[in-house]
Amino acid sequence: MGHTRLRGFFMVSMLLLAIVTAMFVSAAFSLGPASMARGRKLSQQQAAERAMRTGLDYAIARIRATPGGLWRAKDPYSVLTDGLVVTEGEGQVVGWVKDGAHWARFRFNFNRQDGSGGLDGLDDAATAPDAAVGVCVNNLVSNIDLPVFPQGQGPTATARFRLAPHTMLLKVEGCCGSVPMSNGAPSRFSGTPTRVASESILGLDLGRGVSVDSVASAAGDLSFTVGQSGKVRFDSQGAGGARLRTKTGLSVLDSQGVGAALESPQGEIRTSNNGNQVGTTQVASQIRREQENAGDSFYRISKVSAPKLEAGAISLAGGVYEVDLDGQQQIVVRHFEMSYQDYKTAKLAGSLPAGTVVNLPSSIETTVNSNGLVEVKFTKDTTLDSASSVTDFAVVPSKGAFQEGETPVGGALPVPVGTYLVQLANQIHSDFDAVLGDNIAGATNFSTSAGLAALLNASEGPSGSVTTPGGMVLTYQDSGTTIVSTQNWNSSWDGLGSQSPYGNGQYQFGSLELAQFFWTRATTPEVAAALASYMGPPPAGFGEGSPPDPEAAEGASDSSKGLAVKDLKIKLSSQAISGDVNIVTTINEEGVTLRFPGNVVLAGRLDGQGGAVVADGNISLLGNGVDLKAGQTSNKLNLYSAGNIVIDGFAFDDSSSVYNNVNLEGVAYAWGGLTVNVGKLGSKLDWGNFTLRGAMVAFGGDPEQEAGSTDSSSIQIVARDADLLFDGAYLLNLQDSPVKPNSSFVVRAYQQY
Amino acid sequence: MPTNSTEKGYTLAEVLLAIFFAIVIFLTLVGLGLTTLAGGQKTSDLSLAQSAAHELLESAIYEASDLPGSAFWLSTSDSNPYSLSQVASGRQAYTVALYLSDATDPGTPTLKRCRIRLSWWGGESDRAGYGQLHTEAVRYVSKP
Repeated sequence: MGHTRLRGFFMVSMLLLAIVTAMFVSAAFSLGPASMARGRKLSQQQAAERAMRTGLDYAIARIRATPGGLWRAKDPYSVLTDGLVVTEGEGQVVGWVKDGAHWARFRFNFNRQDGSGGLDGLDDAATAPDAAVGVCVNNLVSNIDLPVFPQGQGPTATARFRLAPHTMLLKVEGCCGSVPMSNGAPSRFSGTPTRVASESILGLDLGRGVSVDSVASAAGDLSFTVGQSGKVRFDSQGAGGARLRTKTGLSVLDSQGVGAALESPQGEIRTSNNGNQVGTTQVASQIRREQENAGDSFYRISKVSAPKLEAGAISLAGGVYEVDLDGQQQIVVRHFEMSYQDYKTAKLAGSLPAGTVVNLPSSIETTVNSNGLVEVKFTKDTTLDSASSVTDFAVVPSKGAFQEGETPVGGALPVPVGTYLVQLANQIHSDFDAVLGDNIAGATNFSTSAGLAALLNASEGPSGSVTTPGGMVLTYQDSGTTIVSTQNWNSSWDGLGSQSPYGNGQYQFGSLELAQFFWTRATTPEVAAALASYMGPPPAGFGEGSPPDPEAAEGASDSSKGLAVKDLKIKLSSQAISGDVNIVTTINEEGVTLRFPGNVVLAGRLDGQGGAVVADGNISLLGNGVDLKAGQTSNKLNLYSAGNIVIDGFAFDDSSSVYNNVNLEGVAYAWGGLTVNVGKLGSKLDWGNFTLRGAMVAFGGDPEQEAGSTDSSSIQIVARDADLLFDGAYLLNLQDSPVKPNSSFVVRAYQQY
Repeated sequence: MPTNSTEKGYTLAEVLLAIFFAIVIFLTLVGLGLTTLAGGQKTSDLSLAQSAAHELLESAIYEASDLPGSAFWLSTSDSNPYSLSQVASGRQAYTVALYLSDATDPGTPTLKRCRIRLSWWGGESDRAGYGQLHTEAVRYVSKP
């Protein structure tokens, strides 16, 4: 009985042992494959992630290799190397990577399938991209931000966010799994692959030659002179760009030399000294201040990027084309085969030859409207005739186009000494104005300029009192640097006119009296030397006899004859006009470009949608204001000069001369300096306003040179008010692409899912 | 002292047969156990190697990304390793070889192929019971 129980116990024990052993073995068999599966899954996930990152780097490599950087996989291209097979086209990219034992795939897509062109600039793909991949956006070369819409939604949807300029949205999918091989490379996965995806925003590294957007960029000073109570405002259309940049200093002064307001709702100024090189400018508190470093790049627009001449461009002989109306109100154009400077000198001296009457080509239409306004309209791109002996090109009215202060022979001040006397009086007044404004009467103990101090010192010693024949008394001390008091400074004097900004000629009485006093001392060597230092050498006869009491300066006396700048309009437009002036028969949206190898001078009101002026020399727009709008679909540049750009709103018309407003939409780009005069210090005329929508650049050298700005070309603007609005749309595809083969990218945002 | 029991014991043949079966079963279980252990070891080594390869490759690329002129970007051989090193992961020691070569496509002149190979136990391709004793990871990267 005992043996039987023992056997039973033994048998049960053995059965239990067998069961336990079997459990362990089966558990091992069960867990082993699961562990292997986990390992395989992890391995595939890592391979998919590497493929995704390979896709990111592939995109960067392709962008770097594409001139201009605007790569969107538009055209068919394939890469077939050992272990990397990529096909691209119609905006889609599919790449296979041999990764150890795996084949992994990356995919991305630029095609929104939004029809021909559209936001993506691509035609619809024959095979619609997989919606799960998403849509990439290349905004690297643009200066404007772009909306990014939710997956599968179009422009009517609310944008997820706006993609900043010089950035790129990349959505890349990476997959890894089992693949059937065909011709040495896989084409699909068998089964469901392991998938990872990422969305990243890459930005061009700003340290590698990318320009920080700016409405005004100057290699030298950026200076504004505004009218009394005038101000400078700057802003931006869209994100970024509400910025002023100068390698040196920025100043906003009023006509008295006092710091004036600089305003912007979201602006930034970049100068040396961390944005603090602003003198006495009243910079609004919300404006950010940043450092502008010497090596920071401005927009680079090379000559080849400037608007080019289209087929069918006409050529003209160089020189000056003077437009006039004859007695029958017929337009007469005289050609002077000389540089504009020679023409101007001869015109000022009254020694201009007769010129040659010419018939302009039919593509340059000349019309007279009922108000007597003459329009010269360029309907085709125009350039220089290669046989021409001069490279300048100028269109001016017959009265000429002079800047304020230039007086053709025949003016009311034929005697140079009189001119010098008035200029001296104006300078004295300007110096007083700079300190006191128009509040000279009754002012005591104020400082004056070094030049005037030297004159007083040379005339009457380091301190003393000056009494003029008209009764003005000025007391000074400290070697003339401190005016202690004035009496009768504002006495009535009917010699000068009543034009603004002074409002009343009597304000200049004291300055003229003082100038006349210096006349009486001018024959002494000390005073003559001080005068020479202050105003330049006085002309012969200055100081001899009694000082004259001149009338106000007048323009050319011959005001009844000839065409003035206010009567001339120069238009750049390819819109054809029928026989009736006001009927537009055909509209061609292409802008008209004037491109010349020398200086270009256009005097008269210049306007035209899509028009552009390109010169290897200087560009001068004189006289009657500018209303030039860059095209939205064609030329995005208004003015491009390999020299300097001068826009002068002074419309010379004898005693009716005025300053006109200057409105510019587009880009004004100069290798050298950029000057806008819609007013002049000391002028008695009303100043005009200056508005800019787009950007302006005084690059300070050849933008094709890698070194960038090499001189200190400045931007100088004189206007009652200046309003600058940055609009990157005008720079779109215009500036030399910032994307280079060695461009560096920084990750602005990244998410993996 | 003799007994009167009529029960008989196991015969020698029965005992030997039982021992034989016991040994067979024991050896089978041991074999299964060893095979399972080896499979686990192989899985473990491979998984660790693959993860290490991924991390080391990404790390090497990341460290070189800010050094445009470094030797990393100048290396152009897919047969001679740019670097050789040893790394331990878990209980296994791995030999790490990094190969850097150009993608050699005109459309992607800045694209570089980075291949990392981790091997252990001599890196045999087909060791009995273990199979492949190395793993690789490949990534293409655009030169800075």
